[in-house]
Amino acid sequence: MLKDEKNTACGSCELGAKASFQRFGLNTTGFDFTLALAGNPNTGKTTLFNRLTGLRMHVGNWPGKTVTQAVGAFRFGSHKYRLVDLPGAYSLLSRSADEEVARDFILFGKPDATVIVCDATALERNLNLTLQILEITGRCVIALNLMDEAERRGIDLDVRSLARDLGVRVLPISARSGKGVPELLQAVGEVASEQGDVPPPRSLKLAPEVKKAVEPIEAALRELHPGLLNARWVALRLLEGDESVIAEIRAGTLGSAQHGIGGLVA
Amino acid sequence: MQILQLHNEGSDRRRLMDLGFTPGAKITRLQTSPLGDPIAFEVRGSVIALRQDQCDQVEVKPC
Repeated sequence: MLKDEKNTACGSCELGAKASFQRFGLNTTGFDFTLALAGNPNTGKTTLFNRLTGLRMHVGNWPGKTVTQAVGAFRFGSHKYRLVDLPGAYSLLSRSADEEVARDFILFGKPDATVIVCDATALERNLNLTLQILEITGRCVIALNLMDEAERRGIDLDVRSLARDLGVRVLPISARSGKGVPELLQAVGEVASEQGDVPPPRSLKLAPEVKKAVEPIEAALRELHPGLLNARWVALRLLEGDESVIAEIRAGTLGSAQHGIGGLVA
Repeated sequence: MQILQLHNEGSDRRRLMDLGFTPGAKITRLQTSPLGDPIAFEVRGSVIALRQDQCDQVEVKPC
């Protein structure tokens, strides 16, 4: 097994030295796990996507560049991964179309792991979305990207404390140079392979009256959609009057295959 | 400038806060469009442009 892996490893790339790594481009057949790349606009999601899949999706340094999700694949160690590059989002609670794509995939596409790509030079801004994702699922790893740029600007980040406070693994990387990427993939692989539910590390703390209102809705949602990742989160959106979620419940499309890319590639 | 408070609610408020315009945040006016609207601000390490009606909802003080 080990020997085979060595034979197929890409010897010339920087990841090959650490573990067997192979880019599959658009060929996503026979994957073991699905990964999502989420993060604020312009944090390097597509740069990381291209590095891992060998594809050349357009990288632009303006927000709103990726409006739909791109899909590619790679192999790291003994598993093949399907990687979904989501549009950049500041929030999962907004109503713009590209942010809804990101939200729906994380919530209903059920990736085996979500890589939250953060800009190390503007971490404060990135934590809003990060916390929102961590309220939905614990199947997350944080890629602290642009570490080289942060170092250049004299920004010193306490990665260990950050990981402890957020409750998920945090890996410093530079998607541009590839530094830290093998370690990131190692962590991502471990999260993706975890069996069963991985509860969100950040729980939604609710006032008693909100809790009382949300619980019956949550129970009804569970009955209606047994496979729903986080019924409480959806119930809260209904209470807030989130029109897109209401429309999906009315149409019966909540959490259906069209949200995932299952229908698109299978 | 520093943001004192936001005078709006619902999804408009949510949107501004998601973009980093939260009470206490420091913002710098960078550029103004030729017609005066929108205006670009630096906030929490990024440049974000707001329309006049959004600007009207943000109360600031000099800092």
